[in-house]
Amino acid sequence: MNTRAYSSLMIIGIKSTLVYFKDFILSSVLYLLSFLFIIFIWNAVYISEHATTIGGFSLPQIDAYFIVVGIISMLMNTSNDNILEEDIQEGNIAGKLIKPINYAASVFTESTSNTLITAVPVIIIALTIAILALHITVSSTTLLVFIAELAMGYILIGIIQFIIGSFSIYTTTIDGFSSLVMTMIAFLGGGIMPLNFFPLWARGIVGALPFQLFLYVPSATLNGAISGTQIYNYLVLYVAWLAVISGLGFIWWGRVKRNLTAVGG
Amino acid sequence: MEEPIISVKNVVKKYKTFEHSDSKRFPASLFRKKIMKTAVKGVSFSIRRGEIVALLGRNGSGKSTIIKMLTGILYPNKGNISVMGLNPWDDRAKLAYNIGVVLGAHGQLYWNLPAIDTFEFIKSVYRIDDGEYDKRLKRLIEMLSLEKVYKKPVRTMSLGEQMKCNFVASILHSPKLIFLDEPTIGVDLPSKNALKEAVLDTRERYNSTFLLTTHIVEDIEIADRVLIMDKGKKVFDGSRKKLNGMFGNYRRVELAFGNGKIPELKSYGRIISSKGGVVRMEVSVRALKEKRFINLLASRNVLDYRVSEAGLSHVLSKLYGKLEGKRQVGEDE
Amino acid sequence: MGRYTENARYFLICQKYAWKDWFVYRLQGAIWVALSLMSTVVTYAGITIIYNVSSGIPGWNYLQLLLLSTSSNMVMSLVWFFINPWSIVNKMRIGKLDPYLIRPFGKMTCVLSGVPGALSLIAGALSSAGIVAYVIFRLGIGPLLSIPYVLMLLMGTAALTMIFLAVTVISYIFMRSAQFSRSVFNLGESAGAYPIAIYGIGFQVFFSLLLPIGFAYYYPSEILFGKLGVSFILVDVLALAIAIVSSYAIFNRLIKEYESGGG
Repeated sequence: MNTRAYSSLMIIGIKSTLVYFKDFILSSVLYLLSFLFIIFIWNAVYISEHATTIGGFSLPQIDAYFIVVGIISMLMNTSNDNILEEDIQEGNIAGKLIKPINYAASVFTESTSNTLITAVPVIIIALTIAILALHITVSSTTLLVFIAELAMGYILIGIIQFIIGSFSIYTTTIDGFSSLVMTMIAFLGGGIMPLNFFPLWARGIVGALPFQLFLYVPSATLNGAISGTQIYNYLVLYVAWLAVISGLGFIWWGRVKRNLTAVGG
Repeated sequence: MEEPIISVKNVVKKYKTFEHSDSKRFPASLFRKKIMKTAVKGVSFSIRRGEIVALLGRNGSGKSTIIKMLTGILYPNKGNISVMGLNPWDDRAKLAYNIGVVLGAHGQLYWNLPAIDTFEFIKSVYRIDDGEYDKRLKRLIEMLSLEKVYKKPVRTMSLGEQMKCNFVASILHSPKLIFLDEPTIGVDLPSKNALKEAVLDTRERYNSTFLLTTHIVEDIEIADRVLIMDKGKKVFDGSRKKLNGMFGNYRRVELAFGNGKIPELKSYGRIISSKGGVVRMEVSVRALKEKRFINLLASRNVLDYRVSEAGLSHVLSKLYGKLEGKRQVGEDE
Repeated sequence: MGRYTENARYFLICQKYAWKDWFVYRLQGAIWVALSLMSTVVTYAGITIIYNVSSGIPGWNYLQLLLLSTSSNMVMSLVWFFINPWSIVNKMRIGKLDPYLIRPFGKMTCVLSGVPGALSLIAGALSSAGIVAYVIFRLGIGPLLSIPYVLMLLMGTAALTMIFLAVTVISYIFMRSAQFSRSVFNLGESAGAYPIAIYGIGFQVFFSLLLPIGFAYYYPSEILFGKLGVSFILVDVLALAIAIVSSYAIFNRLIKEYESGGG
């Protein structure tokens, strides 16, 4: 494996990201603010309910849940779809496919360099503040499991976004498709409300999908809502979905490459 | 005397850009510094109705910036611009009905649709009469040999075909003034010739005015006048003949000698190359007419010879060289 | 009036060819339109679940909140339909906005017409409009209130579209990226689906005066349900008119900073 090539790509990705660093900081603030609104909404719901728990969550627990979900959802935006769409639409993909590095790996490297320099520092700082402010007790094992879940979830969402991006060869833009898939993931992954709030029949459907692995499972792990055997089962689910989505992605990408036509000229 | 169709007076355009950090140390090397660059530095010129003017210059000389200010796309920092008596920025919408612009190969063409869809789009936007549209389109399609092309999706066309279709889309509404920004970049020779013919034909029929920017010398052979820009400044404004004679009147001479015996030739002119019995030289027109040179050509030693124009590329090389020399001694900043 | 009808005419011509261009890939085009219905489904499901597990937001019953959320979804889907900040900023960065700016129409019209938004979201907007109509019918609200309501929503759409276009140009000028603009959009989207009064006075002022989603659909909803007097319609319309005029002026000033590309 040509590690030098990937490390050079990483540095280029970091430099490209730093060009828009100001933009990223402002956008992160606004992004995290949008999750604050969800907390306001649920606080209003709890106040009107005059109840101490809803769906097994107390008010502090639901606040903690959404704060953690809001922070870790920054990892969900890998930009693999945008990179791939641009390469296909602009015709750059032809030149990149003939280079002696794996194209999919290079896309991941480019988007990960962006994530490392932007989302990761913000997540670390924001989570630390959240854990201290909300008095969340976290053992070292829980923290390790949480980080492993985030890493596997990141790879999984990255593959899904890569597949979305590859649809660019069949359409003029993936924008609408991309944002709608992410909306579905946010909704069915526990980004709008904990999955416990879903009716029983819906929970069955949601349980069969991988979306819960991105937001609900890591947040519930950190907050202590799931533990012991449940965590073990979820970890197995992570590995299983990674194998399935990677396999599907590999077959699909092979098909897409065969159908690629260069841009005219 | 008729007002010029384009009048540019002391126009300046600046923009901000970024430069890579000089530091090789981490993390300083990851950052860049902001700088202001002046793309156009106090340029003035005018163009009369019906002229074909070529705006020539190297990459980054400010040619495209000038076109974009003339069409109201960019706002000048200083100076005055008048196009057809209108301010291009303030009266852009009014001006746009009377101008055509070609910016790049497929610029305004719908990428996934056949070019005919873009032509019909133009017809709707500019409210072109049906009969007039059919007549004009037919003539342009024939002139540019687009019969087999204009119903294909643009994304499947070659660069030359895209440029020709782009040209058609820009003049379908019979604009009085047409701007062509680097219209022959990456275009094959037959397509280039077809475009040049179309420009001349349009000027002849409608007395249209053309301003074309290019860095390719051969493109200016249809131009009545040449403006040359270098590093944001105008360095020449005149006819091709005047440009050609800028550094004296010279001709390229190619002499093929038999028996490999090449006589002394330095006294006739400058030797460019000498290989395999063939000598290429640059000779002044005056020296060409001298008896001794005529005798040389007539000598048994010379098997064959060819005399051609020195070429504008040669003139431009000398001009740019002269400008670089001036810049190095600080004369030109 | 002639100038406005000409601009509208040009916009419609561009829409015709944008849809034609988009539907070149017919099956995918149809799938995207169908998928955009998801935004309405998610909104509907979210509100329904909240009211299944609790009594919801104080002062708002299920149908009222459903109307507010789907009105918000309708307006924001329409805004996304008109504007794609990524596309606009990318074109501005590399000078590909130039071919659109040479058309004989207003600059804002040229940009909105030449660079279409997410066309598929029209389906989301229409399906949300369907739910809005259903709720109005269920609640027995007559035309005297519902017609001004719809007009305020449309005016709100126009105001937000122009504001977001100005924000997109700001995003280009200062950051050469659309991320900031998109974040502002998302902020409006996430906050606007629920009564802005629950976010506290500071946010309520922000969402009324700076990013007027309040005037676009929240206050009109309150008028519809009798929480605000009918006379507030005039205030709402005036506020939106001011937003439209000022964002137009800001856009025309900011577009002077466009630097194109190359040359």
